[in-house]
Amino acid sequence: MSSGTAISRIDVRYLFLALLIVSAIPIMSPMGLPMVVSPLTKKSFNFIEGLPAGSVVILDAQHSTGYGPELGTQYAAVFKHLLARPLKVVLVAFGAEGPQLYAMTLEGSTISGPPIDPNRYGKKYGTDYVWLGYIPGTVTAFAAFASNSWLTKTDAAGTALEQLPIMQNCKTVKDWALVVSVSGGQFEQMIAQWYSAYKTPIIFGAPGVSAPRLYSYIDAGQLTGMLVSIGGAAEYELLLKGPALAVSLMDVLNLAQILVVVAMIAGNAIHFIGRSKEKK
Amino acid sequence: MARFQLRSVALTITFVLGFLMIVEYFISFKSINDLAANIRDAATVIIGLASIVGVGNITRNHLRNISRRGDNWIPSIIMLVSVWIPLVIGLLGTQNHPIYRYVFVNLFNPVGNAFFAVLGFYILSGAWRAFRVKSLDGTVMVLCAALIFLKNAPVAGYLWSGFNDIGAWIMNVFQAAGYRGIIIGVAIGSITTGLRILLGRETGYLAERRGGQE
Repeated sequence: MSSGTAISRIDVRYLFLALLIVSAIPIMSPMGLPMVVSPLTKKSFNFIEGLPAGSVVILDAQHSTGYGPELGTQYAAVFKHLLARPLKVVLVAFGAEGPQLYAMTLEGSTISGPPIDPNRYGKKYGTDYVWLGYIPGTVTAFAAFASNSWLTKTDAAGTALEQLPIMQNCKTVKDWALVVSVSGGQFEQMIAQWYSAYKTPIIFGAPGVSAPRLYSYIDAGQLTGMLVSIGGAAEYELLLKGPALAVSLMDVLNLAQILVVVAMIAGNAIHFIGRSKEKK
Repeated sequence: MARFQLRSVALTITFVLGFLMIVEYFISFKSINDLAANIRDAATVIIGLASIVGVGNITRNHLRNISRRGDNWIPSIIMLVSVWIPLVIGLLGTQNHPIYRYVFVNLFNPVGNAFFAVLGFYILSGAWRAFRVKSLDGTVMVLCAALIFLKNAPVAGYLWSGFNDIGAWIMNVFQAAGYRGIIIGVAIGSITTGLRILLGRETGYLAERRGGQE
């Protein structure tokens, strides 16, 4: 029996069943496995902590529901942090699903965690935060919004921006202290339009699959910080001292990743055992 | 002749606007900056309107497929229903309409999540079947993959901080160096393509048919 045959004789569906089990158990009965906050998450958190009171921060929902809690929890965690600090938060969506994701974050959902009530943080709509809605056009919109932050003329509810005190301090990119974009792509375009052109600090919330390509920008100082996948969101929740959905899902991530490593080791072990039998 | 002139007009507009945007990016001159800002504002509106063309195109193609009983005509019906029901509800009652919200939260959201979740099973299957220590290259790849997986499992880093350090070293040094090369290559390619478009050497965006017909 060749090693290839040995591997192929084992039905891969048993592995899928194992993945289902290791994913389901921590959801039904959380284990609270320990975790360590990464320097990248800490850097992002500290940057927001260090912003002077009254600074304008742009929070962009550019992700989609497909990313699920991976990015939904990042958006919720950063939003909570921005609300907890004396900052002016301008919420915008450069992704088409942004309006729904914003609403889901406020109401609470399976991908963002418990509801977020800005009133609980003592924040008033129009003065401390504003929701501008979806701006189509991706890279064109990034550039247009930078040169004219009043691009939408009204907020998402149709209130003229002149009537919103927060927008008096946010007219162009020069008024922005930071952009936080939770996104599945378009990273390079945002860096080009906001950092390269105006040196505006940017923090990305990125999915695990996209994060690797952003490390170069961190090294070059073009990116101020980054939250990587649901782990970044969970670490952020720990730094906020308010564990929520991401922390509760970390047990699943832990066990699933370890299962993948076990599958790699077991697959190789079977391969070598099969090969040594062939030689004999 | 008229078609030739139309093409020339399109190429001239592309060149002038493209050149203006490049110049504006690098210089600070109020009248040029304002002009470029106005053009960008207009572009976001045009892009928004372009979605109408997209919906129209999808509708036309799938209606044609249904009427001809072509391949996958039943999924075409599902496609049209999926596009038009939320669209009509959204247009009539805004995105905050309860039915629109219900469809998004309880249908679109879990379906999207499920699609991405399937990746987990593919990764596991790949780890089982494909990550094989057969050569030096394969061994390096398997070792790096295992260390990155362990870095991403926080409990591993808690048990031995070396997993975090080694994982971060791989990501920040080797991985970042590799990606930097790719990014620079893509950037040079983008500049080349951009120049070709500006100079009228690349005209795919004009949606011309073969033989120069529109």
